[in-house]
Amino acid sequence: MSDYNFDPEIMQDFLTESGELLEQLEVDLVSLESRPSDLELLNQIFRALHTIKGSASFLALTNLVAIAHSAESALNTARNGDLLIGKEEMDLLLDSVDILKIQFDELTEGTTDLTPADPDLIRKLTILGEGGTLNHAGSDTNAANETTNGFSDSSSSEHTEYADGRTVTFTSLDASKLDLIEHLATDIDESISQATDKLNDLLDQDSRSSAGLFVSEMFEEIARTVDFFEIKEIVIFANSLAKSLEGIDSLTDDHITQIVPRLHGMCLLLNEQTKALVNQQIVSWPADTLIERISVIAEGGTLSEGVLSSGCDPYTALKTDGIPYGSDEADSNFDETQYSAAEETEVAESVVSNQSNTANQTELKATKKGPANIIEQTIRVEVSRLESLMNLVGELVLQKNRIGAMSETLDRVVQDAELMEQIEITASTLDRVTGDIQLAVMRTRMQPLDKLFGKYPRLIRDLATKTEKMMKLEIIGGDTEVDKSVIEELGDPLVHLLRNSADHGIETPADRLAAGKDETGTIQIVAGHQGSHVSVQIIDNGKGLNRDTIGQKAVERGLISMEQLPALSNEEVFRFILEPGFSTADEVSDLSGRGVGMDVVRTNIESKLKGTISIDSVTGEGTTINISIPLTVAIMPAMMVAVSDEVFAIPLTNITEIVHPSPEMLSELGDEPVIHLRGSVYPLISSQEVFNVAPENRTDENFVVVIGFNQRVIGLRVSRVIGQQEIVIKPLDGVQREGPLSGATVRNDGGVSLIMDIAELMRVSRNQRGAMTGAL
Amino acid sequence: MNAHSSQSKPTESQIQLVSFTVGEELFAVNILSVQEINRMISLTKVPQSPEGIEGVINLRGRIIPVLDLRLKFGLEASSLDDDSRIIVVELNGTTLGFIVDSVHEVLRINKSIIEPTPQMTTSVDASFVSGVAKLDDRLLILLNLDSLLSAESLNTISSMKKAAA
Repeated sequence: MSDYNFDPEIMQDFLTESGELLEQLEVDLVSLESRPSDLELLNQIFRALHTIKGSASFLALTNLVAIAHSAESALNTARNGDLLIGKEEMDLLLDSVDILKIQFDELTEGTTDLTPADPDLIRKLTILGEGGTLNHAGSDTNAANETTNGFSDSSSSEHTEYADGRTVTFTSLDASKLDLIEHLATDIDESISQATDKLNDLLDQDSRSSAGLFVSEMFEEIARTVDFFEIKEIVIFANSLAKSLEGIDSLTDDHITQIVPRLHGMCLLLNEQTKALVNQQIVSWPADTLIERISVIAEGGTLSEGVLSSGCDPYTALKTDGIPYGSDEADSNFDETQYSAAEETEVAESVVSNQSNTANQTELKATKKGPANIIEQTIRVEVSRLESLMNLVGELVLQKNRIGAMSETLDRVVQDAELMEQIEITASTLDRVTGDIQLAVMRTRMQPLDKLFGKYPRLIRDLATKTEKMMKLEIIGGDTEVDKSVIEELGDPLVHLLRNSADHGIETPADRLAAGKDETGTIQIVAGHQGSHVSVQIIDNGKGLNRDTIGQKAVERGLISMEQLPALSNEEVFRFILEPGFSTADEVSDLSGRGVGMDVVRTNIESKLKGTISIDSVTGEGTTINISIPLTVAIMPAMMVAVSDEVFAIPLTNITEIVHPSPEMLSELGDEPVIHLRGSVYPLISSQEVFNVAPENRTDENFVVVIGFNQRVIGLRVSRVIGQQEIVIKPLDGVQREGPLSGATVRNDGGVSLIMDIAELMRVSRNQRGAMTGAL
Repeated sequence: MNAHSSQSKPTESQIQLVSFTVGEELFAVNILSVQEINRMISLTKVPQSPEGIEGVINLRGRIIPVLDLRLKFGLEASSLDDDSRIIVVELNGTTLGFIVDSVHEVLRINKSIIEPTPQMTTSVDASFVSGVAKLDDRLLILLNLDSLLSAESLNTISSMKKAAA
């Protein structure tokens, strides 16, 4: 068990598919809590859990199956109306989801030796599954063991023997499996008909090997499916079929003539068993001779008796081996001429009509049509392929930029006006098409924010339980789509923000009532597009931030002096909560209060996502955290500026304006250089100083780029302004560096430019100011 | 097994190298680690990058760091001319380039003539050298790219220089 015994690809598929189901499962469970009688939702949860369990059992993940099974049986009772899922029951179900998550993580790491669930949890769920209640759950361990060990008890023994040699046993499957048996039958049916189609390919030398492999896989799949239902009669059949095909390449045509009709025969029998299964009947055939002969032939041996003539039909083959199936039964109206390779499905159906006593024909027909007609609307694509596509588009954008630049240069050199017009038209078409491609590729990477938000109802529920508060979460705009990388980086910050709102924002029910509020606090997540940005707001109606407390802490921590404090706006004071290690909580709870979380919020959003955070709060009424992030972080418009002789890129979104200041606009405030702009005064920093340009290379800095970021404005002096360009952000791998740089990009002329990190630049500027005021 | 190993023996005992000059010495690296050799193109300097890293270049859309071997060997910075080349190597998944004065040739030598690093009188730190090979007329210094280009050595170099200064 500790080794990977499976094709890693199968495991990967399982993890992706079931992982998604698991995520959905959790979301659904939390919504189920608020409307426990929603049968459709209940069914959806049940199906998801069941699918996970089913797939896991193919992979023999016993511990995973055990917990999934017990949770499933509890849900099944609820589905039958014998159990109303209350808080206690929901806790158990969510606990099992947690276990499943742990197990999934373990699988992702490559171990199949999974952590088993707490036996007590399994026991309690099983009791629920048996219609019991948790109150007298104390000593009922025996019952629990029984159900976890044996899935279905097929001990009832009502045998009926038939003239064609089969024995039919009635079995009673438990209810949770009964509604699955039809799906099972459809699956097997599908596999069998695919297998029978391919069987005739075995006759042809050329296609033999591939057909053998295909059919063998089909039978193995059937064996696995049936194994889950523990119907050994069918498992034996399917396994021996699969095995017999392993050496099919090495057989002579003579052997093939002997084996193919027998395999066809087996398929017919298998088909029959499946159909009977729907009516809870297990059919067993006296097939020892048949199986033995198949294995003799498969191993290249020669039969001493029971040799078939070539072109023999499966019925004769079966009869030769002692199974008089479908040949001379009294009610048989089967026309053998119908049998041909192309009409397998029809044969299967006519067999059904023969055995009308065992199967409900219309039902089967209905389920049969399903799988073949499904047209795929979506396909799974590996993320790495999308990434490389995105990189290629980035390349394309760069080349397009170069062409654009070249056509401008050409304009000055080439005299031929007509040619120039052609070139310009082509360049602009290229520009448009590239833009469209870029957009299209970006779209493939877009995912709805619900992918993130879906996890939060559970989070809030748990937080409410832990903090003993009452709160509800409202999500608006979860269908807003953003780039995959945004989803990845946004996850952690949002969790921290929600925790903060729940832990520090929302008051206890008593406090809320005293303040004249509804005792249930509300936290809202509101998302939406705003131009090329996405905004996400976390709004709570809790007690709000306290300017005085935060200001006092900030002074204590030396972030600002007592004298400067009154000059700051509310927002500027509130922003101190984003500082690393900043916490106003007197006690550290296990939820929050260490002051680490908000730093993560800031790093992820400002540095990684190039977004902005603003905080708005009214004491007593609540807090709103507003996050705004660009739609994608891979490609963005930028202003190219020269810093002495190097060209740097400044993200355009951060630039308010660019001025060529007259001498009287520049002055100093204290020792600090500032720029006066239409009555306002902004700090001014020199890019040559920030980027350590050697003194001998320095030039005059005649331009000031005014940069606005998070309600703060600074002027950045640069040597020259070059122009606007769409830049593709590339990592600066292998270059250890400090300083306000977020990456590099390739310019129109093929050279490399570094991209300024505005958030970091702001910090540098503040540190400079801080250092100066400190020196004063 | 025997037949196989005897067949591949001649090539196994040989090693293919790219030789180049930095200052007065002739150096070589295993050709397998060399991705390409480019003419000098303009570098973009990265402020506050570690010493030795000369800047970054655009290698067909990828941005890779470039270091000047002369600086690493404690010589004066290269005066770039028509012979200067950037040798691009891939090392443990990182692609980077280094500037050399000129690229000499691609040659094949017998492994047997490679001798362990002697206590040399060259300008090069002994830990950067994996061995020396005596050619007909001159000495070939085989560079150990791993230690030469690893982050640790970058740091040690800069700290050594600081200590010296």
